[in-house]
Amino acid sequence: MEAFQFFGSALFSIFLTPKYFLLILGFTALGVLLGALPGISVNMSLILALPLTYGMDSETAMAVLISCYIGALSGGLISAITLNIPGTTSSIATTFAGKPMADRGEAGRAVGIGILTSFVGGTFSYLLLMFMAPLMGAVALKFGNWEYFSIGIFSLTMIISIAGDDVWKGILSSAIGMALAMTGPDPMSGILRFNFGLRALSGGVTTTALMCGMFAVPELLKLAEERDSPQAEAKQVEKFRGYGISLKEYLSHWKNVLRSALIGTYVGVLPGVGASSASLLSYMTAKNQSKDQEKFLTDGVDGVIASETANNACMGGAMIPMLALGIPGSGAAAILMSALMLHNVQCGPLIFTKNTTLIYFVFAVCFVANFVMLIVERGVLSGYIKVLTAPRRIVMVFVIMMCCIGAYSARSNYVDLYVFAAGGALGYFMKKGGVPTAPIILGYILSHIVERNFVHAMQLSRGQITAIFSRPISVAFLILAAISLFSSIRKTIKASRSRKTA
Amino acid sequence: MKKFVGFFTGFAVLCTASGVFTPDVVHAEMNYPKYAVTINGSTSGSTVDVNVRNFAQYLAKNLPVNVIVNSTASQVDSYRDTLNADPDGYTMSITTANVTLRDVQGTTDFDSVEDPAFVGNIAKGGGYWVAVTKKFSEKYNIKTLPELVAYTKAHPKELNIATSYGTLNEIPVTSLINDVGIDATEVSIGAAGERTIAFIAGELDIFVGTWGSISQYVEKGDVVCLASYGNSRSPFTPNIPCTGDYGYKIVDCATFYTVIMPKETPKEIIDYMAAALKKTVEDPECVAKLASNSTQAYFMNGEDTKNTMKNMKEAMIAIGIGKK
Repeated sequence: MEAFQFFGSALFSIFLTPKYFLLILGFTALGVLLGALPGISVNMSLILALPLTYGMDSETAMAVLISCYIGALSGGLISAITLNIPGTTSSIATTFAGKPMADRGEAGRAVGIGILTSFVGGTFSYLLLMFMAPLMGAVALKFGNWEYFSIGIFSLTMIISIAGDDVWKGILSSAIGMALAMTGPDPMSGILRFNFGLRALSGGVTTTALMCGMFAVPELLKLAEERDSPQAEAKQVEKFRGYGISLKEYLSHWKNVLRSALIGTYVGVLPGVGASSASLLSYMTAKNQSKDQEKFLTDGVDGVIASETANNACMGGAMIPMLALGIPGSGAAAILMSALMLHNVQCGPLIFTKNTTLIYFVFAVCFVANFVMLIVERGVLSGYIKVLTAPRRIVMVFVIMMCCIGAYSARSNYVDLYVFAAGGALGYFMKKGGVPTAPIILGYILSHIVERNFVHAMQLSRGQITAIFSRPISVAFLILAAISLFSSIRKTIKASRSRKTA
Repeated sequence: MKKFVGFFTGFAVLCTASGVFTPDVVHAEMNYPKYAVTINGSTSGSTVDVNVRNFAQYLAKNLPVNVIVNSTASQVDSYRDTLNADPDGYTMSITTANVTLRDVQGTTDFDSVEDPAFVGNIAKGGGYWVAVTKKFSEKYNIKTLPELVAYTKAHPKELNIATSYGTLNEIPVTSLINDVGIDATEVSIGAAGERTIAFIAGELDIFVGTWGSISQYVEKGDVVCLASYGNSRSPFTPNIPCTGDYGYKIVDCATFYTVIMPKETPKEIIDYMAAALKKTVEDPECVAKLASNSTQAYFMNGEDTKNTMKNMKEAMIAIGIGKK
């Protein structure tokens, strides 16, 4: 009862204080704009907004940062679908989920569905955040290094499901991604690996530079090849109403929505895993659970729902360990936490008793900003769709420029531009050779999680690998991994035999 | 057209010549500072960045110009940007021994002690605390640091203690093992957040980390803090004994916030800025603001700061930090 009182009071203060509402409106819109720009990650959007909050009080600062975060997290889907280049790493899965719809001229509809389902996923996780944060924080403590390792292995086995027709090429692609992830400091000793003596590579290869290169450059080179064809000109985009989907049709996907929201929230609760892993895991799970996988790949609606519901649900999940345990669940949560520290607010198990008013204000901002995102992003969608009607050769040059800015801005390291170019060349030749590029990103992201947690777990277990079997959650995920692997291999063999007999 | 080209060329030559032959303003007279001073900090949102920004607000009150804080990709980048800046007193950086650590590891292209001019030190941050969980304390009946040391000597390598190879955390953990005598298995867990989770979840026996990571758990009663790491008690936990109280001789590794400028910066400018820094450190409001982030305002002059960092670098090399 008290919770509702505090929450209601916070909501009233937002709507009755023009400053708060206007800031939420403005920074959500700014976040959407930044998130939609390829190369500007969610973390970078927050870093840009953070200095503005230094002179503000804690409530105003939280209103600014959370609004920016929610806008940027959702904004990534716009470029992922319209340009086939993820605006943020959390929209990688949306890139290949929304492509079939974009190819059919339904890019606007795909984005509309993405916006709606982002809202639903976010609302779900904020409700859990508000009512169950301490409980879910306790759940997060049950996940140790062996559990993270097992989740990583399970996610890796699902790569086969997005590998496409040629599984071996998919495995090769993910192996390349895992190899790239090993550049930089060793997770245990800190000793540099595979940096070829270059100090500039001492931090490894950044996800932003690699992702931008692999997605944006092949598109540009493809345009150069097709410069005299109609594809080089504007894309055709069908008109649509509302969010491109009726309520009845959306509710028919309720299982996918609920499952994706749960995956996103729980992955968000686990520090160090991130929204990109959540959306990829959700997409792969939805694909594997789909009764008609052919339709799943060609239709695209289920894929967009799975990816975008999960990545927005991740935000509420990431705030749970941040608030309840004092441990940020993601890079963005770390920035939010430092903003709180700047205003003398210490996160941890006592925050709910020591800073009750502020906490419920944060919850209220999450809900309001989420709702504002739903309206604002739909409002600016028409403008973004107009981009598609411009000649692609002009649009792509601008996109490449933004990607270069984004790749360099991550670490102010010139080597990231070389990584961008090399990633682009690699992506281009992989496309030419029919090697899927999605598994490379997945392998890159998951390799960090798997290796780091395996090394730490082995240390804590004094070198006894059998310790993993004494942990029920780890065992459960390993069993799921085995089932996933077996199921994927069986489907692949079956599909191969069908092609031979056809 | 020819006249225009001729005039433009002559004007460009005149501008260049006047730039070459005009003596430096600072050598002519001490006319400093005339415009805003830039401080290169650290990664936006990091603890160092927060402290630098807090400090800069009060430093601006003791200077006749504005102070701009520039967030960088890392403290090493901040250091490098300052070393490469003009030695005119308008660029400086405030960084911690993290840069010295990177220097020892060989990942910097500069010498962190010999290459800059040290203006001074403005704060002593973080510090480390040794803690165990309440469950652990009750199970093994350990309430003080000497009791923990005695238990580990009686049961060598049974317990584990977390470190993070290649970070400053390695120094106190190594010293606790070598100098204090904690005979535990050293495990490298990674970032502070991962160590804290492993500790609270009960996977890690002995925690060595910052007060901010465990303060609320100590207050709640889930964690028992055995000692602060240092020769004197931390002002943030005056009721918790320090390793010095028990007579242990440890390697001091406080997180000093050092201020540097390019090496060729004139001494008059360095002295001027040092005086402004000292005045700011003595400001009660600044002290309180830094304390709210578990950082102690602490001034040292440039020479003492350089000697301190030199000693710390030698201690890191002696420990073999980052080489395990």
